[in-house]
Amino acid sequence: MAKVNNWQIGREMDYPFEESRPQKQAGAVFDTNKCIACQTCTMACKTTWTSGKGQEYMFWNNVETKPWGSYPLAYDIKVLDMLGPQSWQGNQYTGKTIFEATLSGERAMGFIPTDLEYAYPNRGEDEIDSLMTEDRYYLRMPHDAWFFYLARVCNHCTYPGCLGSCPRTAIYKRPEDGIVLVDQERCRGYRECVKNCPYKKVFYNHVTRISEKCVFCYPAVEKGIQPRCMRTCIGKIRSFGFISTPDKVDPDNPVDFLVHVRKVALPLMPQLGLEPNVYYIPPIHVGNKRFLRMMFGPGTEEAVKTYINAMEGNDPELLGVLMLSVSTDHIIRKFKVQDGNAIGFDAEGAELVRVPLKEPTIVRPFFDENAKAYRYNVT
Amino acid sequence: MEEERSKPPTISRRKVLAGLAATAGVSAAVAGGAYGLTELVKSAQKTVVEPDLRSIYIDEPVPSADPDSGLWRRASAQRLALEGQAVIVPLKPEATVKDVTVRSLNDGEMIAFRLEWDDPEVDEHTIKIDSFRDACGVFLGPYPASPALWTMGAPDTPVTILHWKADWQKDIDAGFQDLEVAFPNVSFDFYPPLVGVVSPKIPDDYPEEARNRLPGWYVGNPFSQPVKTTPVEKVRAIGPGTLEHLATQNATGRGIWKSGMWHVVIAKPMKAEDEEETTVAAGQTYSLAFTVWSGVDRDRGARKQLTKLGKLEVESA
Repeated sequence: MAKVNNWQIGREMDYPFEESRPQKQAGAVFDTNKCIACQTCTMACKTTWTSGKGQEYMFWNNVETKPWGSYPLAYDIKVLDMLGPQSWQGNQYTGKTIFEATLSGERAMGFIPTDLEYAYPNRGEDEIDSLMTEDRYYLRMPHDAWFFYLARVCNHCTYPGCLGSCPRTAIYKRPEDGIVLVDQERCRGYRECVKNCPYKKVFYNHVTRISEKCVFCYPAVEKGIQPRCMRTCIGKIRSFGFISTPDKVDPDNPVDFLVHVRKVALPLMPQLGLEPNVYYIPPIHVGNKRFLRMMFGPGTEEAVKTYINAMEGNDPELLGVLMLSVSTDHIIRKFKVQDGNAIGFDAEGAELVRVPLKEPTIVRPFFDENAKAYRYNVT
Repeated sequence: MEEERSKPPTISRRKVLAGLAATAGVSAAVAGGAYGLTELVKSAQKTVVEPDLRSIYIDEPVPSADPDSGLWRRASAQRLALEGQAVIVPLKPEATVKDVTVRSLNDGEMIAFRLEWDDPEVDEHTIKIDSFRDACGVFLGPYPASPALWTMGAPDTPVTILHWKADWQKDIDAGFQDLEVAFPNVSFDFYPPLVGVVSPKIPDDYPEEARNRLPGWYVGNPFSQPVKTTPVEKVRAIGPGTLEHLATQNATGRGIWKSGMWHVVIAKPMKAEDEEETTVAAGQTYSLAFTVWSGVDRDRGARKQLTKLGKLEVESA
């Protein structure tokens, strides 16, 4: 095991390979406050990538409801249970990662789900955390009875559990964009990767008898286009881009701004130690802060405050970045908020899109001169 | 623990031919096929730690796909202890299959090995996510060799491994084991781009242009080819994790499971076809080891039990 730096846990940790970061790291921010679980992302990905024989059960993108849902069943509960209670001291994780907690003789701590555990992707959907009784007031913030949607894809981790577990290095991380891929020629179906991805985003194909995973739509990303799950998002929750390490933050980069500047976007289960590159804005209506800390780490309460502050109109820059989410199918590399508009730019600095921070209100006259008719809806 | 007995003498071709006519007992054992052979072997073998095998020359084609052939009686058997794999992570520290009985024949053109080991359960499908296959392997390399060669060869010394797999055997014996074998009630509305094709069978209902939906198949991964031409894969390795499928897949074999035991024949042409393959020449000695994987124990890759590195002497005509 080598020693590598994981900034999300604020310390060095063990990993089977030496630290080696890509030239740029593809990543995204998902705003859980906007997800409506329409599953458009799931359908987009399935239609594109997992509609072959042997892939029926695979959802490289899935949307599960927290707290009672998960796909595969109880994947997160199981890995957290295996890890046992662990602790943080401020922003430093003082517990063990899956690489450190593993039994000797294993590369990482994990398990292989059964086929049955993948068969219920909608289990727990829309289930609230507790029973509603007559004297519970649920129309206030935070909600007394809550649930929220957690949309998930492969996190294309900096220290992937899958890549670290493959005994024949059949999984690799692309140096140009950090996208993690299973080499379809090299894989021999050992499923060490399936066992050791704690997010369970590597899948065994029943027919080809080897494993495969989310490819972050790399053919599109190479052309400056966002992955399909990102750009089809109805709720416009997803901001896809390239994330920098904390020492190289570009405040004009939307993903860097959300993660490093405003710190409103947090990694999923950072205590597992993989340094995942898909980040989440935590749900502001969930009162159970311990649950949220378990899911998103110690920065959760601050992130919620920052978000609420922006929603109250006090942070036009943050609002601007969020307005740019899914406003174009191109990858926004830089942004600017100016004169009530959020503007997104590509890598060359050309303007991709311009979105008003506040949707303009237009009142149309009761009588339409062109059609010589009266309008019945005047707003 | 069985009472130790001395190893039976090597049965030469001449002795067998002379004996067959004269001895009813030997004939009966031959007629009993593999079962008779097994009983004879089990009662007479002690377990040795390091392979020290002689590949007996016979002047007729070796039974390269017949574990039940009477010709195997001509080869002296050796029962080898299997130990867990405790060098490369993921480890399997304790062997769950304790020993394997091996023998070898050659006819100057082909060399064949017969392996048998106890396995109470057949694992010949790898369709489900947590199904792992029964398999075995013959490891051949140059002799003498440094002990380091044992861990799948070395960067300057490729080794040849002949790897028999139970699920490849099943694909050959019973046709490609498609999704429906494990999930008989599966239903799926549409596999693009196969418009109007209900429950497409592989490979017949999947034309070339649709195969990019099964990427392993499309790129030529041997595990993903539905039509298997042999149950034995010929690979080379130059150290742990470096296994490569060789260009010429001309190894053959056959495995039969009977009454709690696998009986597997693995064979290859003695002359190597591929550059990094070990040629096995008559009269020469080679490094030899055997490995067994037990599917019910979730063995695969480095999770295996294997013999120590020993030697193979190839008898010439």
